[in-house]
Amino acid sequence: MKPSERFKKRYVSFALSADGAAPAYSEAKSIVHEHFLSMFGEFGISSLAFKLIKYDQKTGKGMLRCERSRLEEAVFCMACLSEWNGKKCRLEPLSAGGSVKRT
Amino acid sequence: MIDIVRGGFAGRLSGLSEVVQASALKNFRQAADAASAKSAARGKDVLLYSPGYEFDDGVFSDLAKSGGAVVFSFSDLLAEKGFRRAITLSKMRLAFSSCRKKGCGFVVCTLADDEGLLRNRRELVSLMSVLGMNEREKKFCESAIDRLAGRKGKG
Repeated sequence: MKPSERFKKRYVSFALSADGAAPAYSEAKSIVHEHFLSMFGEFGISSLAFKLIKYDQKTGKGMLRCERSRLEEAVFCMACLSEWNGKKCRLEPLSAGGSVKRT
Repeated sequence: MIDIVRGGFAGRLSGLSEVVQASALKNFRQAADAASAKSAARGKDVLLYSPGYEFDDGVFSDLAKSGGAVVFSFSDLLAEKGFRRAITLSKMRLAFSSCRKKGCGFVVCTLADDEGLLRNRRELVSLMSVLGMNEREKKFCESAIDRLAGRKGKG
């Protein structure tokens, strides 16, 4: 596949907290995946080029990937997380960029 | 960019210059239904908030004449889940579309009751995008909230 035919990507760094503490990696992964799936649905996720790139459970900071033209929707989706499994949750977008290093 | 909140708490998030309580603003009007929204829209520079986002067309024309604006609140989305959240977002989009058509003002804020519902400037801008605003309208939205919410107590 030619580079021009691939998804144009954006990387968004975020800070995740559940009840004021950073959740473990497995919990963070399910929070992010389930929340995005509930907001976008399976069809939406397929065109979003969504992927959880990295997550540090010590700091609660991580990075996810989305399609360039749908960056605003991805940020809005992150902002819409307020509760997960009865816990107060916050997925705060910190910055966005075109490469992992720059973000 | 100024944010309007409902609760009384200290603290603001990045990108926001000031957090103002809705109760401190004399031009902030909350309307329970379309009928009360119509009478509330007649004042000068009114910030009109209706949780149902159901307005008559006349309301938008009145707001356009008086220099007022419709308030879109992030908390209304956070309070709902699933299908109901989708319906609220859809109503907000329709209301924004009418604002654009009639030429009346619009502002986006959190109207947060507690600190957990506060959102930063980046997140508020993402809501503006989701409502369908272009770059020019986003800038207008930010300047409108600074103009209308920055006039505390001047009514």
